[in-house]
Amino acid sequence: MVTIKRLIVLLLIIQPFYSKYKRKSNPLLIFFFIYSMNNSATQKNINKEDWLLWQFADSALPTGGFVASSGLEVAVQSGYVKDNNSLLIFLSSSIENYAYSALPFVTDSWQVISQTSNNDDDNDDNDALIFENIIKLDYLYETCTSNVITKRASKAQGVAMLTLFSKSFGEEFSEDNEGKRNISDRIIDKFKFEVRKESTFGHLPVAFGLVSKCLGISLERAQHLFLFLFSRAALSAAVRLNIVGPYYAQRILTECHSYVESSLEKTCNIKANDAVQTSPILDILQGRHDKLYSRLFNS
Amino acid sequence: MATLNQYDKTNSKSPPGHGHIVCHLSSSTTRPSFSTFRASYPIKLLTPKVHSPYLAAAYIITYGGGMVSGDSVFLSVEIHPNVNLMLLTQGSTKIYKQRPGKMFVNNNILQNGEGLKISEGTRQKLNSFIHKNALLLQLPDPTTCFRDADFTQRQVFTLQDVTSSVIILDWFTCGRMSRGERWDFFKYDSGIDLILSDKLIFRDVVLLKNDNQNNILKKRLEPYECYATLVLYGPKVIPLINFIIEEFNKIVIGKIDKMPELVWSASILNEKQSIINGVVVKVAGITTELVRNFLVKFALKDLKDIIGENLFERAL
Repeated sequence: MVTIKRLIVLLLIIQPFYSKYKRKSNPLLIFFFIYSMNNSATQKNINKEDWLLWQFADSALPTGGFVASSGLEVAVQSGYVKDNNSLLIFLSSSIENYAYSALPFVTDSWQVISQTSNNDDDNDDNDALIFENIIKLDYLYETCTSNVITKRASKAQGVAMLTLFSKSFGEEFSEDNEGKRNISDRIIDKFKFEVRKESTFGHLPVAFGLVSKCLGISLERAQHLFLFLFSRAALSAAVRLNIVGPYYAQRILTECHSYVESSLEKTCNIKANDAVQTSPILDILQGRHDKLYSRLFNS
Repeated sequence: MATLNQYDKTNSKSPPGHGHIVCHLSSSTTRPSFSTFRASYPIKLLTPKVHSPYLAAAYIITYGGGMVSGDSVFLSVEIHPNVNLMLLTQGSTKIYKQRPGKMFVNNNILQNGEGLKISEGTRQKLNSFIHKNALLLQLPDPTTCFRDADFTQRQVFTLQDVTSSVIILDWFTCGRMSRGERWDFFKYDSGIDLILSDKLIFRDVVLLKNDNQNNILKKRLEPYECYATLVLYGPKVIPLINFIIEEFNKIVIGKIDKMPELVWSASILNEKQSIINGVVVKVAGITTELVRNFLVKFALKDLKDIIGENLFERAL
């Protein structure tokens, strides 16, 4: 950026002298023209991805996450979270646990389409193979999650994610670039259909990986976003449970960045088959959520 | 007439750290017998006298009562129809600290040429196959990982069909409490796979790791010092499963400020079908005794009917 500014200054200085002699082509104008051309070409896709990320991070996105407290409500009522310090411990361990147990499914699901469609002709066999792998992941997540409440919350949000794609993004993306985006549209529609038929589950990590891939969000960003949304949901629940105020919640959310980064460092390459749980205590507490005498949240 | 003391005498043929148990029931008898019963250092198998019909038991013992870094144990168990086999240990399995760079004679992984990287730590693997109408009771004492220990365990339970049953207990403590060790181990990584005729129906893997020496585990797992996972599946243990689910459904939690001494939750396995086939119970207690009491006097109390009072006292 600095060199570009210097160049502009230089051009501004020499411009009057230059224009005296050759009136036809102004170097400054040419420079700006080339510069803007280049920029609009390279930044077009990045802008689109960024824009989508903002949309995904916005709490107005209708994914139903607001009914989930990710185990915080029961942790508070059981005396596990009682002050700011224990809230931080809760957040760091539940983020890490989610990164070890759910993130591998996002990663694998994101990679399914690109790994399966090696041959260019997008025939029905290819679709079926992709779809089969998605279903396998979905089933594996179900078997790896013993906890009924975690399962329920994951399914509700997963279905919301699929609905969101087809209602808000699906058609737009199937129009340009006929190849891959058409596949994604078909796969997501089929996935949603099977979930509705109750022949598969529609778990959030699988749906999230698939949807983010279909929207052209890079794997790295999808992984970050997934854990950000988890942290954000937990903290927004903390505010509504009146454990922290909205300002302090933002301060903690900033702190969660380091938890997300350190978790991602360890888990970003883990395959779904190697997913593990790292917090037995949160698992037990979450399993007791439905036994709460009074509760605000669904999980 | 086959008896429990009739063993296969081919001990020397087992590779280091390998154990093999096959248990069957001849027709016209109610006493199961072992057609294969062998193991090699560092594990040893023993069988106690059992008087309950259809029941056999095996103690899996490690020399010195524990395992060190580099030890690798592989146990395979097959239970033929109509046999109830109970696997036990004598006292908790102690996992001693990791000594990097040292190799042990009994390291069979190295012999297989799979490289140095995976030879570190202590490894234990169990593969079991449960035939029709058979029941496996995997009821070890808890695993205790000492300071800096590195432990990895995988247990696979394959049920031939829906008539096979299993009880799996997998539990661990925070360490050698007498020396003030609490969650001081390097790594505890334990996994269960439950397979029903080729299909994985349940997986539970717990990974606990102290990454940066700042004892993050202690902060997260306190105040509890013992955690247990109990899986029950199959027709032979249906009364126990129903009892646990009923009891769990009775729980109502009001707001409390201090964590309870013992906390547990139960989840139904195979929720999609209307029939309940299994349950997963997770428990944490501030002492090992509390968890043991929960198991013996509560969750598994009706096991007496299957294994008899006498053996039930010895188990756990």
